[in-house]
Amino acid sequence: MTTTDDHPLVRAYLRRFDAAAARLPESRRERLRAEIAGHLREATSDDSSDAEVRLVLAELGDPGMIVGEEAATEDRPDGIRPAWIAGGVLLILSVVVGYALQWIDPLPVGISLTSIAWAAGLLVLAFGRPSVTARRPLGTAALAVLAIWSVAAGVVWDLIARTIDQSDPGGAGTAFGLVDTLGAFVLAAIAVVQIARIEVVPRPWRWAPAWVLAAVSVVWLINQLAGVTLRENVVAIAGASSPWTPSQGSAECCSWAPSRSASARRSCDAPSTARNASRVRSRSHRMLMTGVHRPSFGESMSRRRRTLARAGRWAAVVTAMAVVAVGIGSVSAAQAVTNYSGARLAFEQTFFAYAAAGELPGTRSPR
Amino acid sequence: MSGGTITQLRRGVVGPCILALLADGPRYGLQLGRELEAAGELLTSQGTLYPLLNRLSEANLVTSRWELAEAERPRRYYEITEAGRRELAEFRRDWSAFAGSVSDLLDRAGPTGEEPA
Repeated sequence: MTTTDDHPLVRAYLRRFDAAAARLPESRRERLRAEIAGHLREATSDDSSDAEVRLVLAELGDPGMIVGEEAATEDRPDGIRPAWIAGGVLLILSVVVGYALQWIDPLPVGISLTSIAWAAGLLVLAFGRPSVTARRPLGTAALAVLAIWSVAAGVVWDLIARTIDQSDPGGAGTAFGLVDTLGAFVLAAIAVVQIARIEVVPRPWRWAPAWVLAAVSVVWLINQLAGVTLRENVVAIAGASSPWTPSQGSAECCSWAPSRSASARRSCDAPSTARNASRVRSRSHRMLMTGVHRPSFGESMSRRRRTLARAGRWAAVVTAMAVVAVGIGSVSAAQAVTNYSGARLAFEQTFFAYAAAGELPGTRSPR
Repeated sequence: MSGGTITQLRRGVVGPCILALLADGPRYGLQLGRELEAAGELLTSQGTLYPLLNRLSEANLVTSRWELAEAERPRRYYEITEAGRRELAEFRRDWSAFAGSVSDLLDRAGPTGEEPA
């Protein structure tokens, strides 16, 4: 006597099911198989004839169709989304690691761990299951190109940093900075609109990438506007004595994507931070201008600690924003906040270095 | 009606139909499958019921438990949750209006699909 599971037709059916279900996640596959096998046991008996078993199998349906329904179910908005979790963790890592390693070049030719983590996060969200863009061409391509852009731009920035003509403030760095910023913004905008329209991400989170992009755009815009005033002030303070002129720090130099290597970022951020540090200027520059006080090494370190503390707070803010973006992807603009904070830190370091060297009017050289 | 259209319609309504059956009491998979088939063309095949049940289960609209009755094989019984009852009530309201609107339009178009003169 054979049991239902031993029936050759049932065994053949379950083999076909196993082959079709190989693409499903293990837990889902095992649960579905147990249900199908239970259904067959229930619908047949040990002494069922071949004809009866065939009828039951026909009513149950083709294994490929059942698995297809399960796979479609897996893409539903209320399911577990390991790919979204993985992508979100990578995006958060890119932000956090960006802070930790922003002055370090761990890899050659301008490729940083930050940009790799960022790009990997975008690719996982674009091509993972379920894809936040449902793998539709426009949104998926935007995320993929943005990921590649993030890494490639780091290489270009590194080349520019090595070859830039310091006396040519309007040169390749400025031009590429503009292209980098606008290009990344356009790609991110396409991606966030597609994510919202495709509706794979449940409400209200499908609009979260757009919120983040808008928020960071506003921060970036304020950043640029503030920089105009500050740049003029720094020109007045530093005059021609500085080896870099504030105008070299073009607004376009601050990129959206976390693609620049530390060396590229240093070369670019130092001047560009002029537009980021109005608070520093209003406090420290006043003292420098009047010659009342020149910061000691200890005070300078204290400021750096405060700056780092502020950077830490920014890191918390950015991380929170990245958490919002978990499962959503394409929030490349969040990284702009990282750049903002890093740029401010770089400005303070650079400015006080010149102040300590007595190269700013109203200060004396320690020599 | 094309196969694609009926498939889309099934996808939209079979979940609430399962909830409606479970609102009468717990049922196991084969039982549900046979009742849905008896009601009409609600399932492509009985096997496609299980992914739907998994979906309802993960949405917390149904729960399931194994039962082992005497002289019977172990069965997984499905039961509607409170959230499932609310979902069903909401669907009932929406369906009345939706079905009425579709019927009105189809009646207006006439049996051949052409606007009456």
